[in-house]
Amino acid sequence: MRLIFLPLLMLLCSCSVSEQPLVTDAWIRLPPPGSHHAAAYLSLYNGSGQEVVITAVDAPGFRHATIHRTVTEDGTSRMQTALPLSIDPDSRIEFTPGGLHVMLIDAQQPLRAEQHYSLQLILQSGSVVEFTAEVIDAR
Amino acid sequence: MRKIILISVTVVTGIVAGVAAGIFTRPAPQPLAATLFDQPRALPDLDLVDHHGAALGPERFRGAWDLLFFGFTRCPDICPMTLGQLRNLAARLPAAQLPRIWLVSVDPEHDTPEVLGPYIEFFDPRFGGITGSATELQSLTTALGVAWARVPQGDDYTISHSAALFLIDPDGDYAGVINTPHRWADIETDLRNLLR
Repeated sequence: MRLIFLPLLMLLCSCSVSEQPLVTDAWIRLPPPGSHHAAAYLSLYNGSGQEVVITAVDAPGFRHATIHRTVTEDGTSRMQTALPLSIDPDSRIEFTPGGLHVMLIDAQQPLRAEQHYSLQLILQSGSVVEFTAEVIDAR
Repeated sequence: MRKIILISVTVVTGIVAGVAAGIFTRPAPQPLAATLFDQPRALPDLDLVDHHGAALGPERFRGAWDLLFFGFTRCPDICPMTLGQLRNLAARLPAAQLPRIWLVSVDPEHDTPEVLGPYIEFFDPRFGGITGSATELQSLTTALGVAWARVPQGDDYTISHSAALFLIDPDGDYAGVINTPHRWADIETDLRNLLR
């Protein structure tokens, strides 16, 4: 009897440990002509019951990608590196214009509206959260 | 009877004149978002260029209200966001109450007129871009009290910069500033009152 329950118990444990953060509403602002840098925005929900840490971003089609936060203090805006980025258990963080964003640096090809890019969040655990973001002309 | 009529006409005329005087001498409403200076400040001599590569000195700011935003084309977040909001603002304002809107590049080394032109016209073909040498740019930012700094970031750099909007009056003088956070409905009201 014990032999039957043990694999089941292990399966349940592995499910809760590996539960991935969920990315929704991901989009990339269409950069104006001549600009090769873009910002991606999204909603990220960590329903795993434990802290998740993003350590890197992978963005095929761009030379480099990272996570930045725009901070405006005393009327001056500056970008801060936001990696590593921790997400509390059972909580959501929003990447929105003027705040947290995925910084996409040096696009290999000019972006076009309605194009889709596959992006990856690399977690400290070694797992990867892959999601798709649509390019939107948000003028 | 004639006396009564004369008095009535005088009283009515007085009331009408009083109301009219009240309307025409009514002070402009207090701005909601802008801080306007009691004494506008003269700009220094400037030797900048616009997004077409044409010379741009302080005389270009005369004859109409101008609104300046400082940013750079490689800025992926706050600059396109603010320029998009300025585009929406420009779409809501009648032509007579629309200031000339400029993006002044704080990355003049990269943002040549060739780069700046297509970038700014993407938002609104009526918008203009300003660039030039770092020295001339410094002259303008010092006059307006604009903070900006180039910040190394790995093998690249970013630029921190003021996100405020700067107002130049039709005499070409620095007249006021609209600080963050931008409340666009209030900014629209201020411009409608200022440019009426």
